[in-house]
Amino acid sequence: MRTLERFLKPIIIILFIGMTIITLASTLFRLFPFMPSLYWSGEITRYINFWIVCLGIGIAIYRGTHFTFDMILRFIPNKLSFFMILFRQGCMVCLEIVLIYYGMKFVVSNFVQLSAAMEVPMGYIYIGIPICGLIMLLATAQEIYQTIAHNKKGVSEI
Amino acid sequence: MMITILFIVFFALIFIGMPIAFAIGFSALIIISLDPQIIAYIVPAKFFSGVDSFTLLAIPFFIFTGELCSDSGLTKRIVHFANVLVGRHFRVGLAYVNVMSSMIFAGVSGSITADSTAIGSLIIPAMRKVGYHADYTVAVTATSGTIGALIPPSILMVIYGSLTNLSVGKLFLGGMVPGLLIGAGLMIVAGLIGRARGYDFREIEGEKSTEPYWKELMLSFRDAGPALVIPTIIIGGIITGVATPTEAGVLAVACAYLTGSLLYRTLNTKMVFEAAYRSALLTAVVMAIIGLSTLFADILTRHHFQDWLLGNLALISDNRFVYFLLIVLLVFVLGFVLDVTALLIMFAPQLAIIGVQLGFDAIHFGVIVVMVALIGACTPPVGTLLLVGCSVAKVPLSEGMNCIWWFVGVMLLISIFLIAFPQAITFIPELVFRR
Repeated sequence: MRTLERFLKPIIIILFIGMTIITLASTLFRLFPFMPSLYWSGEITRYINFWIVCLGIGIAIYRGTHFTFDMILRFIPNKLSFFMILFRQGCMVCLEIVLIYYGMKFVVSNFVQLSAAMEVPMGYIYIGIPICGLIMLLATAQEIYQTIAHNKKGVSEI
Repeated sequence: MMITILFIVFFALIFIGMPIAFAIGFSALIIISLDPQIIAYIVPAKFFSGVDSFTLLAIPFFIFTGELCSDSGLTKRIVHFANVLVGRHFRVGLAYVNVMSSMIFAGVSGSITADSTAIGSLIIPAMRKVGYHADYTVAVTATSGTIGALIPPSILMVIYGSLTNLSVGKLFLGGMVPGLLIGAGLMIVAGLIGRARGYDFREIEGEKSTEPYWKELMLSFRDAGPALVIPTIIIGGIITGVATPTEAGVLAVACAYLTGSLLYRTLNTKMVFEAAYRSALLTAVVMAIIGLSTLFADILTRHHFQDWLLGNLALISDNRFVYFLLIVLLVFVLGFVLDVTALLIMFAPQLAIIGVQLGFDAIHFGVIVVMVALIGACTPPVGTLLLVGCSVAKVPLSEGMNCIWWFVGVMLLISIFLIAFPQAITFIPELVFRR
């Protein structure tokens, strides 16, 4: 996961800065009427944002930055909380598999549909969904591995 | 029936520590698998349509502006200005500085977590060093953080507006008076508690300066100046109709970048990249909740959640103000266990419909719902702002939450006052958008 983050970080930064610059350019171009209108900018920035989100969700799982409520687990004996953590990680895996499987189906069935302004096949955009699921799955797999490893060592882990 | 299962699964998952975004997604998934009329195909479809919105693009830009401002040291200058202005004259000077800085910074950044982290990490250590108790500093910081989402720009208002098709500009303006009122209310409570606890830190606070007072004030004001320019661009752009919230957000990013790199000369390229990365990840976290909540809200709509809620409310009373109070109570109670962003995304569309059905002004209703949801961000156990405050002050939640109830109480009082006097919220938007 650490290697993956090192690989994804520059991509996310480039996408984010790119999104900012495109939106800024199109805003300025629109405010000054003699400039050409960037009719495709609204569409491309929306899709870039979607991709940033798809790539970022998994990394946020790895870094543990999603909003979580972990008060109760602290009051529960280690053994029980171990199973609860495993259970919730199992739920995550289910969700991720649905995202990958139905995301793929969604990509395939909408592949030929073209986007409104740029006429790009929507498949290239939707493919972010299964990829998102895949990164999430990797992050969760690592979490599960750590949970089990910690439990073997007998360290309480939340 | 389905709605009951949905909520039970959802809360059970949250209690075992599943991240809120995925608890929302997974509980929706359970219902999809139980209900033969819905196919799992809508999971990717709704997820995409939830994230794919030009208005919501304002969120990454507001976050990015806030990150750039703290990195470039603008936050520090705001705190300094507030300190020179109010810090040295009162018994609990730094508490006033805290609220004041939040109010000024609220105009720059749209994210409550970013506001509160940026300001808290500067002021909480200073307050602790002088001798304030931890619970007091945490309470002041957490509750004043809510002002960030009321004084425009505000991510929560953008979310509410985009989900309910209300004008974000009107919601922004509607939040101004409540933001100022809460600022004033918090200062009063902070002063009273300070008096009761016998705080008197007039002499110790702030570095002594050799400059004459007025000169120092002007200098610190000039330094913090961009903090007033950025909100002017954002709000001015939106209400004059020159720019959409997203475009105004990106203009603010440009401003923040220019301030940091040319005026203060504190930003370098590497810092900008790091700020972009942090903003991107925070965006992903917020958007994950939005995308998956779209799914959740879709299921609520399919199972007629608003009819169910209205039906239950009708059993209690038929007065529309009582309805409103009950909805406020519901949002307040949900705020104990839900993060404010998730709460708004999941319930805003349904609540807004109910509000209009009851005959309330949509802007008035929206601002109140956002306000009460924000109070939820300060209440334990799940209060984003309270948790941020505690983690900056390095105290456990049990210790940090001691005196927050007074502050929460005054915020509730202000909400109830505003329910009774809708003009306080609606008069600014009506004045500006009269055409």
